[in-house]
Amino acid sequence: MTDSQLPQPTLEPEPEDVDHSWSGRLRRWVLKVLPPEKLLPTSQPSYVATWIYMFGMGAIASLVFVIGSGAVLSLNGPMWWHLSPLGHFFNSLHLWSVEFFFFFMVIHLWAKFWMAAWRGNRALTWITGVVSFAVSIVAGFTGYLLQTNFDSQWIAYQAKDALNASGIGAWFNVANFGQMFMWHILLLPIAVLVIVALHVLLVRGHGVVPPLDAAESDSQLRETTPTEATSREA
Amino acid sequence: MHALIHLSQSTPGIFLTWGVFGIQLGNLIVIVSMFVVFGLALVVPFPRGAREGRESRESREDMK
Repeated sequence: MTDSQLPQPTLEPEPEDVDHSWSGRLRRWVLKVLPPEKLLPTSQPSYVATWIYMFGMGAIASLVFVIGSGAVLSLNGPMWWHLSPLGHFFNSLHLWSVEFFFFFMVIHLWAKFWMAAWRGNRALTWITGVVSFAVSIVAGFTGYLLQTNFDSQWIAYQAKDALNASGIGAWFNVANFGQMFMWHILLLPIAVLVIVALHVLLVRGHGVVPPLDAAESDSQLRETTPTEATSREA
Repeated sequence: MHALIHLSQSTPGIFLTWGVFGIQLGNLIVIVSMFVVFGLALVVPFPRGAREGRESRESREDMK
Protein backbone atom coordinates (compact mmCIF):
# COMPACT_ATOMS: atom_id res chain seq x y z
CA MET A 1 0.00 0.00 0.00
CA THR A 2 1.47 3.33 -1.02
CA ASP A 3 1.25 6.52 0.95
CA SER A 4 -1.39 7.90 -1.37
CA GLN A 5 -3.68 4.93 -0.62
CA LEU A 6 -3.50 5.42 3.14
CA PRO A 7 -6.40 7.30 4.73
CA GLN A 8 -5.21 10.85 5.15
CA PRO A 9 -5.98 12.66 8.42
CA THR A 10 -8.17 15.70 7.86
CA LEU A 11 -7.66 18.90 9.81
CA GLU A 12 -11.16 20.16 9.02
CA PRO A 13 -13.81 18.36 11.11
CA GLU A 14 -16.68 16.66 9.36
CA PRO A 15 -19.86 18.77 9.41
CA GLU A 16 -21.66 16.26 11.66
CA ASP A 17 -18.75 16.37 14.14
CA VAL A 18 -18.91 20.15 14.62
CA ASP A 19 -20.05 21.00 18.12
CA HIS A 20 -22.88 23.51 17.88
CA SER A 21 -23.13 24.17 21.63
CA TRP A 22 -22.43 27.73 22.77
CA SER A 23 -19.18 26.64 24.39
CA GLY A 24 -18.05 24.87 21.22
CA ARG A 25 -18.88 27.88 19.06
CA LEU A 26 -17.15 30.20 21.57
CA ARG A 27 -14.03 28.00 21.62
CA ARG A 28 -13.80 28.02 17.80
CA TRP A 29 -14.28 31.80 17.73
CA VAL A 30 -11.63 32.41 20.41
CA LEU A 31 -9.14 30.13 18.67
CA LYS A 32 -9.84 31.89 15.38
CA VAL A 33 -9.40 35.49 16.60
CA LEU A 34 -6.78 34.78 19.25
CA PRO A 35 -4.80 31.62 18.50
CA PRO A 36 -2.18 30.61 21.12
CA GLU A 37 0.72 31.95 19.04
CA LYS A 38 -0.92 35.40 19.11
CA LEU A 39 -2.09 35.23 22.74
CA LEU A 40 1.31 34.24 24.12
CA PRO A 41 3.91 35.17 21.51
CA THR A 42 7.54 34.23 22.13
CA SER A 43 8.95 37.05 20.00
CA GLN A 44 8.02 40.51 18.82
CA PRO A 45 8.93 42.49 15.69
CA SER A 46 12.34 44.18 15.85
CA TYR A 47 10.80 47.68 15.99
CA VAL A 48 9.34 46.87 19.43
CA ALA A 49 12.88 46.86 20.89
CA THR A 50 12.83 50.59 21.70
CA TRP A 51 12.08 52.37 24.97
CA ILE A 52 9.02 54.13 23.50
CA TYR A 53 7.23 50.75 23.26
CA MET A 54 7.78 50.01 26.97
CA PHE A 55 5.33 52.45 28.56
CA GLY A 56 2.19 50.35 28.14
CA MET A 57 3.86 47.55 30.09
CA GLY A 58 5.06 50.16 32.62
CA ALA A 59 1.46 51.24 33.17
CA ILE A 60 0.35 47.62 33.65
CA ALA A 61 3.19 46.98 36.13
CA SER A 62 2.11 50.08 38.05
CA LEU A 63 -1.50 48.87 37.99
CA VAL A 64 -0.38 45.63 39.69
CA PHE A 65 1.10 47.72 42.51
CA VAL A 66 -2.04 49.90 42.65
CA ILE A 67 -4.29 46.86 43.07
CA GLY A 68 -1.92 45.12 45.51
CA SER A 69 -1.42 48.13 47.79
CA GLY A 70 -5.14 48.92 47.58
CA ALA A 71 -5.97 45.37 48.69
CA VAL A 72 -3.69 45.77 51.74
CA LEU A 73 -5.28 49.14 52.58
CA SER A 74 -8.73 47.60 52.34
CA LEU A 75 -7.81 45.09 55.08
CA ASN A 76 -7.60 47.87 57.66
CA GLY A 77 -9.85 50.56 56.26
CA PRO A 78 -9.41 54.14 55.04
CA MET A 79 -8.41 55.57 58.45
CA TRP A 80 -5.50 53.14 58.97
CA TRP A 81 -2.86 55.33 57.39
CA HIS A 82 -3.47 58.15 59.89
CA LEU A 83 -2.63 55.92 62.84
CA SER A 84 0.02 53.44 61.73
CA PRO A 85 3.46 53.87 60.09
CA LEU A 86 2.80 50.65 58.15
CA GLY A 87 -0.55 52.03 57.04
CA HIS A 88 1.16 55.25 55.99
CA PHE A 89 3.70 53.24 53.99
CA PHE A 90 0.99 51.34 52.10
CA ASN A 91 -0.99 54.53 51.57
CA SER A 92 2.12 56.15 50.08
CA LEU A 93 2.79 53.04 47.99
CA HIS A 94 -0.79 53.27 46.68
CA LEU A 95 -0.40 56.98 45.88
CA TRP A 96 2.97 56.64 44.13
CA SER A 97 1.96 53.59 42.12
CA VAL A 98 -1.04 55.61 40.90
CA GLU A 99 1.33 58.48 40.02
CA PHE A 100 3.50 56.09 38.00
CA PHE A 101 0.41 54.48 36.43
CA PHE A 102 -0.73 57.83 35.05
CA PHE A 103 2.83 58.90 34.24
CA PHE A 104 3.41 55.81 32.05
CA MET A 105 -0.10 55.84 30.63
CA VAL A 106 0.18 59.45 29.44
CA ILE A 107 3.54 58.82 27.74
CA HIS A 108 2.04 55.63 26.22
CA LEU A 109 -0.86 57.78 24.94
CA TRP A 110 1.52 60.34 23.41
CA ALA A 111 3.62 57.63 21.76
CA LYS A 112 0.59 55.86 20.29
CA PHE A 113 -0.98 59.14 19.14
CA TRP A 114 2.13 60.20 17.21
CA MET A 115 2.47 56.80 15.56
CA ALA A 116 -1.29 56.75 14.71
CA ALA A 117 -1.76 53.47 16.51
CA TRP A 118 -5.33 53.07 15.26
CA ARG A 119 -4.01 52.08 11.81
CA GLY A 120 -4.61 48.58 10.46
CA ASN A 121 -8.00 47.74 12.03
CA ARG A 122 -6.75 48.79 15.48
CA ALA A 123 -9.47 51.40 16.14
CA LEU A 124 -11.01 49.36 18.98
CA THR A 125 -7.58 49.02 20.62
CA TRP A 126 -7.23 52.81 20.55
CA ILE A 127 -10.79 53.32 21.86
CA THR A 128 -10.34 50.87 24.78
CA GLY A 129 -7.12 52.71 25.67
CA VAL A 130 -8.95 56.04 25.74
CA VAL A 131 -11.81 54.56 27.81
CA SER A 132 -9.38 52.99 30.30
CA PHE A 133 -7.70 56.40 30.67
CA ALA A 134 -11.06 58.09 31.34
CA VAL A 135 -12.21 55.43 33.84
CA SER A 136 -8.81 55.59 35.58
CA ILE A 137 -9.26 59.35 36.07
CA VAL A 138 -12.61 58.71 37.81
CA ALA A 139 -10.96 55.98 39.93
CA GLY A 140 -8.16 58.39 40.88
CA PHE A 141 -10.68 61.12 41.68
CA THR A 142 -12.69 58.88 44.02
CA GLY A 143 -9.39 57.88 45.67
CA TYR A 144 -8.66 61.52 46.49
CA LEU A 145 -12.10 61.67 48.16
CA LEU A 146 -11.12 58.84 50.53
CA GLN A 147 -8.11 60.46 52.20
CA THR A 148 -10.29 61.23 55.24
CA ASN A 149 -8.73 64.66 55.78
CA PHE A 150 -9.50 68.29 54.96
CA ASP A 151 -7.97 67.82 51.51
CA SER A 152 -10.58 65.21 50.56
CA GLN A 153 -13.35 67.35 52.07
CA TRP A 154 -12.20 70.33 50.00
CA ILE A 155 -12.04 68.27 46.80
CA ALA A 156 -15.51 66.79 47.42
CA TYR A 157 -17.17 70.13 48.06
CA GLN A 158 -15.51 71.74 45.04
CA ALA A 159 -16.37 68.79 42.77
CA LYS A 160 -20.03 68.60 43.81
CA ASP A 161 -20.78 71.90 42.07
CA ALA A 162 -19.44 70.69 38.74
CA LEU A 163 -21.17 67.32 39.06
CA ASN A 164 -24.46 68.93 40.12
CA ALA A 165 -24.25 71.32 37.17
CA SER A 166 -23.96 68.35 34.82
CA GLY A 167 -26.90 66.59 36.50
CA ILE A 168 -24.91 63.52 37.49
CA GLY A 169 -24.62 64.70 41.11
CA ALA A 170 -28.21 63.57 41.77
CA TRP A 171 -26.99 59.98 42.18
CA PHE A 172 -23.15 60.23 42.07
CA ASN A 173 -22.83 62.13 45.34
CA VAL A 174 -19.19 62.97 46.08
CA ALA A 175 -20.14 64.06 49.60
CA ASN A 176 -21.40 60.53 50.33
CA PHE A 177 -18.28 58.80 51.65
CA GLY A 178 -19.81 55.31 51.64
CA GLN A 179 -20.92 55.58 48.03
CA MET A 180 -17.53 56.90 46.86
CA PHE A 181 -15.77 54.21 48.89
CA MET A 182 -17.69 51.42 47.15
CA TRP A 183 -17.10 52.98 43.72
CA HIS A 184 -13.39 53.24 44.47
CA ILE A 185 -12.75 49.76 45.86
CA LEU A 186 -15.24 47.69 43.82
CA LEU A 187 -16.86 49.13 40.70
CA LEU A 188 -14.04 51.24 39.27
CA PRO A 189 -11.22 48.70 39.86
CA ILE A 190 -13.33 46.05 38.10
CA ALA A 191 -14.00 48.47 35.24
CA VAL A 192 -10.32 49.41 34.88
CA LEU A 193 -9.15 45.79 35.02
CA VAL A 194 -11.75 44.59 32.48
CA ILE A 195 -11.00 47.41 30.01
CA VAL A 196 -7.22 47.04 30.38
CA ALA A 197 -7.55 43.25 29.89
CA LEU A 198 -9.62 43.83 26.74
CA HIS A 199 -7.05 46.38 25.55
CA VAL A 200 -4.19 43.90 26.02
CA LEU A 201 -6.11 41.10 24.28
CA LEU A 202 -6.78 43.42 21.33
CA VAL A 203 -3.08 44.32 21.16
CA ARG A 204 -2.25 40.60 21.16
CA GLY A 205 -4.90 39.83 18.54
CA HIS A 206 -3.93 42.59 16.10
CA GLY A 207 -0.23 42.75 16.94
CA VAL A 208 1.80 45.74 18.07
CA VAL A 209 1.38 48.67 15.69
CA PRO A 210 4.54 49.40 13.68
CA PRO A 211 6.14 52.85 13.40
CA LEU A 212 4.89 54.96 10.48
CA ASP A 213 8.00 54.29 8.40
CA ALA A 214 7.72 50.50 8.91
CA ALA A 215 4.06 50.20 7.88
CA GLU A 216 4.87 47.75 5.07
CA SER A 217 6.10 45.23 7.65
CA ASP A 218 2.60 44.84 9.13
CA SER A 219 0.24 42.30 7.58
CA GLN A 220 -2.89 44.13 8.77
CA LEU A 221 -1.71 47.40 7.24
CA ARG A 222 -0.96 45.64 3.96
CA GLU A 223 -4.56 44.38 3.96
CA THR A 224 -6.17 47.74 4.70
CA THR A 225 -3.83 50.25 3.07
CA PRO A 226 -3.18 50.31 -0.69
CA THR A 227 0.53 49.83 -1.23
CA GLU A 228 2.57 52.06 -3.49
CA ALA A 229 2.57 49.39 -6.17
CA THR A 230 -1.21 48.87 -6.20
CA SER A 231 -1.91 52.60 -6.14
CA ARG A 232 0.45 53.03 -9.10
CA GLU A 233 -1.43 50.29 -10.96
CA ALA A 234 -4.75 52.02 -10.25
CA MET B 1 6.55 59.93 61.99
CA HIS B 2 3.38 61.57 63.30
CA ALA B 3 4.97 64.95 62.62
CA LEU B 4 5.56 63.82 59.03
CA ILE B 5 1.95 62.69 58.72
CA HIS B 6 0.79 66.01 60.10
CA LEU B 7 3.06 67.87 57.68
CA SER B 8 1.80 65.86 54.71
CA GLN B 9 -1.78 66.82 55.55
CA SER B 10 -1.26 70.47 56.26
CA THR B 11 1.24 71.69 53.65
CA PRO B 12 -0.62 73.58 50.92
CA GLY B 13 2.21 73.20 48.38
CA ILE B 14 4.16 75.74 46.37
CA PHE B 15 2.19 77.49 43.65
CA LEU B 16 3.82 79.22 40.69
CA THR B 17 1.86 81.89 38.88
CA TRP B 18 2.44 83.79 35.65
CA GLY B 19 -0.41 86.24 35.14
CA VAL B 20 -3.62 84.26 34.87
CA PHE B 21 -1.76 80.94 34.68
CA GLY B 22 -0.97 79.10 37.90
CA ILE B 23 0.28 75.61 38.69
CA GLN B 24 1.46 73.70 41.72
CA LEU B 25 5.21 72.99 41.64
CA GLY B 26 4.66 69.24 42.13
CA ASN B 27 2.31 69.06 39.13
CA LEU B 28 4.74 71.09 37.01
CA ILE B 29 7.60 68.73 37.91
CA VAL B 30 5.52 65.68 36.91
CA ILE B 31 4.48 67.23 33.56
CA VAL B 32 8.03 68.34 32.70
CA SER B 33 9.34 64.89 33.72
CA MET B 34 6.88 63.22 31.34
CA PHE B 35 8.17 65.33 28.43
CA VAL B 36 11.78 64.55 29.38
CA VAL B 37 11.15 60.79 29.68
CA PHE B 38 9.21 60.82 26.38
CA GLY B 39 12.16 62.52 24.64
CA LEU B 40 14.71 60.19 26.21
CA ALA B 41 12.67 57.13 25.18
CA LEU B 42 13.02 58.23 21.55
CA VAL B 43 16.80 58.68 21.59
CA VAL B 44 18.27 56.38 24.27
CA PRO B 45 19.39 53.07 22.68
CA PHE B 46 17.54 49.98 23.85
CA PRO B 47 19.71 47.28 25.51
CA ARG B 48 20.18 44.27 23.27
CA GLY B 49 18.61 41.09 24.66
CA ALA B 50 20.55 37.85 25.24
CA ARG B 51 18.73 36.04 22.45
CA GLU B 52 19.28 38.83 19.94
CA GLY B 53 22.97 39.02 20.87
CA ARG B 54 23.34 35.25 20.47
CA GLU B 55 21.59 35.30 17.09
CA SER B 56 23.75 38.14 15.81
CA ARG B 57 26.92 36.36 17.02
CA GLU B 58 25.78 33.18 15.26
CA SER B 59 25.03 35.06 12.05
CA ARG B 60 28.49 36.68 12.18
CA GLU B 61 30.11 33.26 12.66
CA ASP B 62 28.09 31.84 9.75
CA MET B 63 29.40 34.61 7.51
CA LYS B 64 33.04 33.74 8.31
